[in-house]
Amino acid sequence: MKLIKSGHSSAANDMVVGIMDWRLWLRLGWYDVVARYRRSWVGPFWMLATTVIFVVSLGAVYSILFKMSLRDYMPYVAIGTVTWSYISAVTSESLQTFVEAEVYIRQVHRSPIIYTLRVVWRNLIIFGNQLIVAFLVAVVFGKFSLAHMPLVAIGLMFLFLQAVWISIFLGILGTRFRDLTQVVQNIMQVSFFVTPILWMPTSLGDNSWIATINPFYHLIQLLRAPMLGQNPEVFSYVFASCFTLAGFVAAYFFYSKFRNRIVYWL
Amino acid sequence: MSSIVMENVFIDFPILQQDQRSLKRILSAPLATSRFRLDDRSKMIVRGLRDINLNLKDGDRVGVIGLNGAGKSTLMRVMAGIYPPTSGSVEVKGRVGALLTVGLGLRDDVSGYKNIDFCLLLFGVSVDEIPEKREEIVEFAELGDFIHLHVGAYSTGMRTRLAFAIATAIDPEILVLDEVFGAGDATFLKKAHDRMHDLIHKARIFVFASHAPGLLEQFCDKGLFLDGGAIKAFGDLREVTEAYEEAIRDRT
Repeated sequence: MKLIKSGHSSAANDMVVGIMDWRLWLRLGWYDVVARYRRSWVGPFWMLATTVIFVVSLGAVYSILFKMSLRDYMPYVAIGTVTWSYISAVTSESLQTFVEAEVYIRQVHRSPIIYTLRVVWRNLIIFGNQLIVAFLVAVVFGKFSLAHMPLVAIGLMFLFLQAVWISIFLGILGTRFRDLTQVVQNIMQVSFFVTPILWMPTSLGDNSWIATINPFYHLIQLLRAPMLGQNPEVFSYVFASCFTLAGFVAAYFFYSKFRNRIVYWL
Repeated sequence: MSSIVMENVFIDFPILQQDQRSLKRILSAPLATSRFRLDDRSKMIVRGLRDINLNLKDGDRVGVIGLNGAGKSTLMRVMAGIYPPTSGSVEVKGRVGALLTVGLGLRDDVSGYKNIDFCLLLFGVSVDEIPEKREEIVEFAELGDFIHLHVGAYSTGMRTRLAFAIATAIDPEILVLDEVFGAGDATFLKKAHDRMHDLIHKARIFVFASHAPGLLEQFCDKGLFLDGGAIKAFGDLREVTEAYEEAIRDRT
């Protein structure tokens, strides 16, 4: 029920209008979370419980495997896996952004950005929830440092921004090419093992380039390092900034070109 | 002043599901009127609407007729801004309310109450208007205490009542109504009937797609006959209906 002028609105207009409709995407995202957890009697605590079980068992076994002290390894793994599960969820769920919103898109004219922000918000809620576990582990093992909190905030900012452009970019791609889900899931599965999450980049020795060229490594590092009371490398900031910028540029051009096609591909 | 101006509007649907090559073979004998075409990059498309020129203004009450697949729903979706035209231009002035499907998009996992807020927001109702409308919807839907229960627990009848109440709570200047909306018998109780009439009479421009000439006559004075995605006739309802019936007779 809005003034519609086809052809007059632009991608930038869509984005502004989409963000302004926060009442809608905040609700959509929150209802998704509610829907996901309402059947389990522990409710949202289920999220925390699964994270705790995963982190504790992994930390215990792999610290022996890698011959590392639990004190160093456990918080490292906790923050790494929680951050990874956020990145991986955003990436694979983004493909469904418009597909899962089909019922709305085919019924009422709204900025498609609402649906991308819904995916972002939904995953931020879950991430925030799981981050509590990672945070507590860091505190328990004495890694918490108040001085590093501003850097933690910056790291979170970077992770948030990735979700914004990924949901737009992959949202469009995933609508057009439905079989991308399998491809992306495969890529993410492999990435989990080649990214320093369970293992330390130092164990790469002379082959440290394997971590250096991996954008996931830098993104995780921007949050993990300050949460462990360390400073991330400056290079990680530079790399992540360029990566983010490139992502936004790609998403913007992609969106401008195909935003009118979304409804036809549903 | 509300208006809908459509100039040389074409809507092409890409065919993504089928094997394009085999489809190409089937349709290799090109018919002049075929709605299957190849676009400039030789991809299969179905022409949903072709060369639509239409000018509607305040007071227009248009009944859209045509066989299944003639493009009625597509035309309504274009008016509602859902399908951006492949080529041509559409300019709509005024708040559009489109009642196209009954489904609406109620969320099973949240209460009826929250669903009302959400759907109203989705349909572009401003925040200040929501409390008043919510009150009115709750009253109309007669859900009692169920309104605080999650919608997944509702019976089919309750869902339909709620969906209908929400969808008809809007007050659009341009009302686009598809026959399939509210075709369910339960919806057309006397009360729902009155509500629908009210909505139709308040709208400045009313566009109604239906197969039933009786219903069209009741609400519309102009007719628009769509065939194969193109406008075959537009004008006085009676004349257009006759042209439509004649075309059907010729075909059978």
